Amino acid sequence: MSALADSGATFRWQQEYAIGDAQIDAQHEELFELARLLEASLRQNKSSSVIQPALSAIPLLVHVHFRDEEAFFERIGSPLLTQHKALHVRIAEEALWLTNALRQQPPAIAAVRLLDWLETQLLVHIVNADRIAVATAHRQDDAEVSERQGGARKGRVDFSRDRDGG
Amino acid sequence: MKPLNLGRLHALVVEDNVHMSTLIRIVLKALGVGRISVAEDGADAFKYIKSLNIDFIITDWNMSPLDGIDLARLIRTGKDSPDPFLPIIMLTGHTEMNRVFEARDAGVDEFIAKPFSAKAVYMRVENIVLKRRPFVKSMSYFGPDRRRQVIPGYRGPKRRESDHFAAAAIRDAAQNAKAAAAASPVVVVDPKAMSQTEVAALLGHD
Repeated sequence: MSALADSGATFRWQQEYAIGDAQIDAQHEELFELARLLEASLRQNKSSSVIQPALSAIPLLVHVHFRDEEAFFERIGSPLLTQHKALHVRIAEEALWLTNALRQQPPAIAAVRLLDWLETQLLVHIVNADRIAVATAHRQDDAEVSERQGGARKGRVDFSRDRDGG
Repeated sequence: MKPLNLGRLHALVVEDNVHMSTLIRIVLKALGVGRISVAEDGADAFKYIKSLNIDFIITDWNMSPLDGIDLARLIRTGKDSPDPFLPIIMLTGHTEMNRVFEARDAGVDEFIAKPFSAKAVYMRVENIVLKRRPFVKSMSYFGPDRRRQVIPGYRGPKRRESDHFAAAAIRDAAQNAKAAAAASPVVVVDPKAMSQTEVAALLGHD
């Protein structure tokens, strides 16, 4: 388990992670809740009862969430939609591969690896890339307003943070 | 066939283990169930059923003070039961044959063994929505038909009231409930939903 997960409060949802859409924020919060649940089950030596349901649920959760989130980004006109979809494809493929691979692992090992993946891939994606995608949409709106007012600005986003897990 | 849109259904999860109830709730939500309530034991659940319009329940077996079997009996045959026809899915680690029979005889519709999978939950919900067994009443049982198979040439004892005399009221009630369920707008095909193949791939193994 990573140093972050050892802290105990890592997977607590915080309002500052919200991107401003009730449905998407609720789904994000649930993914944090799932990570917290896995962590708690590990601490209480009860991972055997939750790991198989969690493994079976994650590909579906990820698929449904990404579908809804892409629709939201499209609605708000995020200029990073195409790049974001590509990130989603990679994460969804990883989720499917990883959960299949972990089914054969002992419960505690599977839980640790799944938790690590949730933290370093999915939750980092939520905290960084998702918020950037929304922020750029807002910046674009601002820029359009500024342009109309004769002072256009440009926003730049570095997605390497997401790929690097940071 | 396309997957169901369960967005207008209200599920009640009855489970005293917070890890398990969280997982079930998250899975149901991902499957598209519109409203999900959680009760910590059978007694709490019965209160919810009386006060909310619950469409189906997923209940654990071992709970205190009222366990899942007691709850199923209370729903099916309790004098103050608000909905004796409420679909009941039992989630349990007890998979011995005598336990399965006990749950079946209490009027449970479907059974999910722990550790559960998202696919098992989806299939049981699909069963109660699309392929629910008709209700029967005998001297000692009221609930979904326990005979999942029709055995040609069956010569054993016939214990159902409808086997012996015209239990018109019972038949009518069951038929009315079935007709109401069939006419209900609750379940519709969602054109935006995933294909059956996509769902199967995501849900993986049982």
